[in-house]
Amino acid sequence: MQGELALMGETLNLSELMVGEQATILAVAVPDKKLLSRFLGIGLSPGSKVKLYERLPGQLVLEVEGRKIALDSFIADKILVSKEDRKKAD
Amino acid sequence: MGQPNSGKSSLLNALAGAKAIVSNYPGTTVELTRAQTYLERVKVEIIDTPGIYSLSDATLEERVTKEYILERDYDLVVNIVDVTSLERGLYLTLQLRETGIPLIVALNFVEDASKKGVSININKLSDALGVHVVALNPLTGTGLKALSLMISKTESLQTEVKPLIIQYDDHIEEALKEIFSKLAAKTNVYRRFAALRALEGDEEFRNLLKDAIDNLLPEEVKQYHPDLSEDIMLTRYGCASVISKRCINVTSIKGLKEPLSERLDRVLINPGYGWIICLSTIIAIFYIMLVLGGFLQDKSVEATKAMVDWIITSWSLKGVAADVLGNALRGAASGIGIALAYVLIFYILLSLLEDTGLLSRIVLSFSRFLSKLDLPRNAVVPMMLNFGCTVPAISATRILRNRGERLRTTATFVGVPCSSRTAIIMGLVASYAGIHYAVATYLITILSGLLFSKISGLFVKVEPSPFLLELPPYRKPLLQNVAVKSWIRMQDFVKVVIPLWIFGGVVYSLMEYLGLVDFLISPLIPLGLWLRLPPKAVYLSYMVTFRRI
Repeated sequence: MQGELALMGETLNLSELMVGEQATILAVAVPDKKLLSRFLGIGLSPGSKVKLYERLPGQLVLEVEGRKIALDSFIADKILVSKEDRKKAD
Repeated sequence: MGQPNSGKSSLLNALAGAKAIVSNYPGTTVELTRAQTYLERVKVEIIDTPGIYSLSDATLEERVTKEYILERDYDLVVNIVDVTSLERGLYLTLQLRETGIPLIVALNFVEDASKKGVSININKLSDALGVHVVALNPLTGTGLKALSLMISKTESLQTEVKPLIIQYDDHIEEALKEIFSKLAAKTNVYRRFAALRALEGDEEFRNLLKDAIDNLLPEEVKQYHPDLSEDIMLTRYGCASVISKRCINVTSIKGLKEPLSERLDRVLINPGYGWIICLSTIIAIFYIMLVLGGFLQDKSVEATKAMVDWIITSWSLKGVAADVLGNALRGAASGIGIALAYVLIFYILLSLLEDTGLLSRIVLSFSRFLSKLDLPRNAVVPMMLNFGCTVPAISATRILRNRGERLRTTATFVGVPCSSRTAIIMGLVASYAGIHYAVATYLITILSGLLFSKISGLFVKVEPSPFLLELPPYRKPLLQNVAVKSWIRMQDFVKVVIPLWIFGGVVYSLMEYLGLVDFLISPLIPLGLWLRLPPKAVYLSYMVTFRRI
């Protein structure tokens, strides 16, 4: 269903991205299932594109689906992403 | 209903307008707002639910909304979806479609999307979802007529709508069939949805099963899906993603200027100085509150006093009754006059911050500060409400996860002054003792609140909770929304605090009349001497204690 998952790229944790970098989410490991539903509703799902907007002490600000989302770095450690090889044209 | 910041309140206001009687759903702060109006000459009641990202029960907002939606005490659900983030919006829409409740999808921010080069095929979306889809703009009124027509005709529509069936993989479908047959006889919603919810871990639906879910699932399913609930949710999201991609057409617009909002965020979310800007905003708000409040205060005090005089003369009260009641009411009236001015202004400013999107940036910036103080990070909003008035702030602590978090937060309210106390500190202390003393008093009260919370932390431990906060796009606030929201927050003050003040005033004047005050104070005077306070100060602190109770 999500063909872009096959995209070959460097795999790393969301929190390891540099500010301004874009990546595709591969897996979201949320221990609490109730939280997963909320993650999906906010757009943090495998296959979604995320951009690290800013890094704050203990927190990250992401851009997902054109919206900005702030979350704890320790949650971002559990989100696996694949960095895009090519530079975005825009 | 819809996701946070999708435009639910704007739609409610656009549909119901000024004629609407907006009232709170009693009992909760994360309320359902009700409004009555006529659409196409049909009387309807519109209910605005709290914004939720999905039908789940992780937060109180979600539980309140889920319960209401599944209770089926309505004719139709209008699901408002923000087109600029269609994919995730459709996740909630798909859940609603799986329940089989009567549904209309209203698309908001279509113009905003097209400015970004995103166009949407409404017919395709309507086909994919199997329900009516209407594009609208609550600000300009586009599409409202079409929506009103649909709503007013629902009575003639059939009440059951064919639910959307998302095809899960064979193992999940097998599990669904198994659970489906084991469900208790009657559910308010479509049975397949109930089975899904049970599989997804919803306790409410698991309780409908005769046996523990683990015993009911076929071994093979467990083997292939060690994490069944996750696989269901991800399939649903995949479905939302596919529908969204099929219905949306993106053309890139070249030479798009970096909008003002981006530049604003670069400053407000800056890791270095962002918090200074946010703090300055708050200080500016207090400054405006004190200046405007001071201006309004004289007028509102005069008005409330005149009202009391009118009550006394028109009831032609004499003697003890006039004394006691008159004193009490006059005292209360001046308090109310002062407080009304400040509390109202504070809440109007706070609602403005909220509706422009600035508040969430401030919450983000302060949340780090709160976690350093071991306070729950979701407590920023209740704590800001407390600067206005403590009563709505206490009810707002319901959004916190547990008693411990609530206790830690409300403990700060003991010290941190509300707007009427701020007015008194800044007014009285500043004019009698000087501005330095006033600021010092102010800071000491805040510190004492934080200290008190710290002490309460010795008894209750607060586990750090995962923090997930959306920073919505900046938007021009609708004045009507701001007015309604401020009024709802004011209601706590008007309905709870004012009667208490009047009651306190009556009791106090009665005690004064009976000579009980001196009697009660006398044992406290030695304590005052020990603290090197003049006896008058004891009298004062006694009065303050009593008034505050």
